[in-house]
Amino acid sequence: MLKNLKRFIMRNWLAWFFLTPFALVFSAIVLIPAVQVLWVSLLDANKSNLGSYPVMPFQGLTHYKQLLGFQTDTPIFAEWTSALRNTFFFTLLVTLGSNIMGVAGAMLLHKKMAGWKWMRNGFLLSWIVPSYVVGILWGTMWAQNEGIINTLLFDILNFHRISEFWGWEWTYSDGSLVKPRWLSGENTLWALVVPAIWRFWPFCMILILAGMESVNDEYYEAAELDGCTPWQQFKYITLPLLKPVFVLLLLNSIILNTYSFNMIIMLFSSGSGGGMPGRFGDMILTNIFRNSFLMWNLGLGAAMSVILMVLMVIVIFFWHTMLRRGTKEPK
Amino acid sequence: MKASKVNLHKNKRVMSKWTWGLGWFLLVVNLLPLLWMLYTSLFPYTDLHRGKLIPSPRPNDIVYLNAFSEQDLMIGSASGGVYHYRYSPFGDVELSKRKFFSTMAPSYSVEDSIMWMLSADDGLLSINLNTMKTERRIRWTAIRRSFVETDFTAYIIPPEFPDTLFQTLAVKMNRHQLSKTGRTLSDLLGTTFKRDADLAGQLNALLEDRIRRQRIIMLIQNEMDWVNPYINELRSREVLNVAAERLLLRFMLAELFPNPLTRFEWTDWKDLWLSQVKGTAVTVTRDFIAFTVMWPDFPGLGIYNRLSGKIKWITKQQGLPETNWQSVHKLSDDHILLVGDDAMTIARLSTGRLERTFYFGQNGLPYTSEGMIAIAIRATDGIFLGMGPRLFYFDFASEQASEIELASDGLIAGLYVDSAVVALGTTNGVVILPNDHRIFTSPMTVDPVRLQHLFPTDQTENNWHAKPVLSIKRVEHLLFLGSTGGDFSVFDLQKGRVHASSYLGDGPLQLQWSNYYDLHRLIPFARLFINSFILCSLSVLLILFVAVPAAYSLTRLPLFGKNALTDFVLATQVIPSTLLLIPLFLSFSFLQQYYPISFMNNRWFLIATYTGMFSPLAIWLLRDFYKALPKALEEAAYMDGCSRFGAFVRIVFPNVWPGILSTGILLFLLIWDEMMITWIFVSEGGHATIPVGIRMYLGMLGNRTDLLMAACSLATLPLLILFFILQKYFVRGLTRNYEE
Repeated sequence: MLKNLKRFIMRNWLAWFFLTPFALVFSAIVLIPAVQVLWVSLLDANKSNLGSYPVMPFQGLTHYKQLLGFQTDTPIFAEWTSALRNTFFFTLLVTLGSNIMGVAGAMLLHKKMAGWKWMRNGFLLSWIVPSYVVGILWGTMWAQNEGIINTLLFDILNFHRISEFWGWEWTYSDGSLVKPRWLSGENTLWALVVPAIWRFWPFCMILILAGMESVNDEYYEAAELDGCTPWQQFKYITLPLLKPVFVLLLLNSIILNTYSFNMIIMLFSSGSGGGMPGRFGDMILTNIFRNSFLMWNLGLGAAMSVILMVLMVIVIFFWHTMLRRGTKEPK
Repeated sequence: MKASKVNLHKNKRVMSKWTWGLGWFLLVVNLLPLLWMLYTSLFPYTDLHRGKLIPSPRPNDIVYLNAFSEQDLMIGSASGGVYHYRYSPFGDVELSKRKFFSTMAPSYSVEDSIMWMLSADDGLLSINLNTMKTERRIRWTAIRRSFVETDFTAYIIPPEFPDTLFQTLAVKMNRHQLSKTGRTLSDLLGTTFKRDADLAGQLNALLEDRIRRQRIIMLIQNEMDWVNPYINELRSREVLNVAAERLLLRFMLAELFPNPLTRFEWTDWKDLWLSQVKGTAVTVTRDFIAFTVMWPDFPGLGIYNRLSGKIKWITKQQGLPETNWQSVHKLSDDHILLVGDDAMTIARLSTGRLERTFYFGQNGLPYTSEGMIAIAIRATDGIFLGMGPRLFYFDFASEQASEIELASDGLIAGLYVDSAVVALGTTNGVVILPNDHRIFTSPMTVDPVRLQHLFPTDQTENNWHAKPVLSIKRVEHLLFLGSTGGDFSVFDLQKGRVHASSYLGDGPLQLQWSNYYDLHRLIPFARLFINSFILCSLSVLLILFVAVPAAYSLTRLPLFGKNALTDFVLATQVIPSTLLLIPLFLSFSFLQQYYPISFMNNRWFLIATYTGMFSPLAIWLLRDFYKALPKALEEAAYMDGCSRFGAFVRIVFPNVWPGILSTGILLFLLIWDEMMITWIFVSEGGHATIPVGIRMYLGMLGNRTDLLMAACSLATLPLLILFFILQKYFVRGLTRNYEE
């Protein structure tokens, strides 16, 4: 009896002891700030009154009013909504694109042809590259006049001549083509989506591939004997069996892409525009960063972060109720 | 039945061949951007900006020509090609030896058969022209060391700021129009500091307030500095040209916004050396090598003593005018003449002092236009100066310059107004070479210069090329002319025609590893890399130290509310990082006032932040590895009398370490990629990680896309190496619970 009690205490003691360092760091860096932010979002915190932090000019719900559209006379609301819209489409397109490419790549690799492991590692390389490098690299590649993409399209492939057949119009000045700008204007979203997919799709591929490997090959053999086409095999075997994988992957894609910051901000580093994305390329996180750490309007940034957090929680709630429930966690 | 099965297999084989090809094709396409990054990191940036796919060969412009004996001629090209020609008195030339020193922007000087080369990347080299071997090499590190060891304390900050400086600043702020836009500095400040629209007014008030002015001077003398992104932006726009004014403005802003974040350690100005230093000209005398070194704001003259091997410096402190020094000329074995954009000065090498300085625009000297200054030295008593279409003689004894009338005596039409003197050369006469490809000679007399007009008789027949001549040397009746693109000709002054000409050939292809060296020279990339590496490694270790036991506790140990706790920890992954960073930033700027710890530029603080932010993720990853471990293992250990702790250390940990390694690698990858936290909490290049450092030094890199790509390649390299060594763990970490 005594021995049992002692053992029980020992057990619990160890569990709490193991948790202590984590609990300390976690509460200092995550928990306490996460509570503080609610207070900060009600304040007017800027560069000149940083030192007096807890007591700052109280603003009430002004920031929230500005962001939720009750007070639209400031430029903040317009920038915020364009950032929201851009992020929504960016996340949607990247999630779709990289998952479709991921499925294709996984199906290709699942054939297990000679050297497939090398091929898999080769595909993964574009995911290994740090996202800020992806940003800088593609930022130079998208450059208007000297970028390799425009050079390939217009100087070598003569895309402007080809596309004239189906009626695209190009502007010329002094007889030479004005190449399209990718990192400003409405093209920007595509210039962000393409590198994002390029970096993200191997991640999807490797997870889908791992899921495919856990599916018993006998299903496919049976299906093949019954005369199923590859498409039918995919539709009736792969998709249902891999549903848990796709559900998790969807969540991953949404979170990672909504919070993408490094790539976006570095894409604009080498060009004009002060190194910051403009109206068409602004994401939520870059917008928050600019407002809080470059314009030093920390209260506004805090309010934006809170709203973003709430939005994400809503998204995840829907994800949970609609998709997650009913699929059990993969083994 | 059988037949159909065979068919099926056949199809499969065909299919697999086809997919095999498709797979590798897609792989190559997917890798193209990466390959492009590596390829362009070796490109010359000029070609990159022209959108070229294959780099062009380097221009082999002949920038230096000298005859160092009666039959030996040395040619130095702009891309580091050194040629040794032999010539006969009849004007025949023959290539004897040549070698490429792949250097940047070299300048040359020859004495006997030893050539000294000052290059922007390799430092000072001495090359034996007969063997083409490098005999001596003084690297930039050594030059830098000698510079840093020199005591310049008197220079750092003027002892006091005169009131006139405040006044001139006030005038400049409000009246001086910035380029193009026509706005004043006050306007610019108003728009840049949106939240403090009246900043300009406040600054103006500051300029008039005597007591606060004294405080600013105190600030400056206490060697405090202001670091604020906007100020740096203003500085980078080069609004104020005078360094003292810039400094003053920065400290005035520091006075306006006194708070703990605004003031930082003063960086020693000697640290400026790390970037943009380049050598511009070199000359050899019997005992010394004199070379000019230039970087923004602070040019200097280095004097290398050939006997003792020490380097002495003549800088602004000794009264060296602040200008771009273009060339160095030897007057005697102990005297050299420096010619710059704004002034020329005579330095004595043995004492290391300036003897006399003449400013252009004074003493009868003309103002320099942006055109080249051509100099010819007439023994020790004077020099000929060619400037634009005019020719001057400057006499050292009387310190007066006089313009030489270019008399025409029927034969010579003189120099046209639009023709500029591009080269002057002497040994026993001045040779004037206007840029319209005519040649004039004159004896070394000053008054009425009789120019002998030597017009090439037949331009095509004599291979007289129309390329601009960059260097010239006259030996007896032979005139050696080196021009752009590597064309080189011998002009016979007696016959008045080109006797022989030669083409050096193209320079080497511009695919160059030196970009990586340039990156190292221009920005402290090694520092950034080491910072990133230390930060990542330490953070990963600390995260694992925190998360490995915590994850075990949350997975296996009996704990009240374990599942709810785990869900809560995982749920915090949804928090955007700015949500945490804003309160963190505020709390620490508050705490900093009361505790003597600076959280800006503090490595330990960064590591702690990373640990807090990434350990929930680590717990999530590790949990799956613990789950995969059979419970029976631990139970067997308990049966054998192990305690819980003992079972963890002896049984669980050794079995789960591949999982821990996988987690560590993934975390390394993620933290290597992290930039927002570092961006916010680091303001100094010395503490920055690679992405933040690249952002900071973007201005210094200018338009060098090639260097940006080199930086990117180096930033990717450790991850690639890690990936290829530990790919098994990498993939396992990614696919934890998806695989069987």
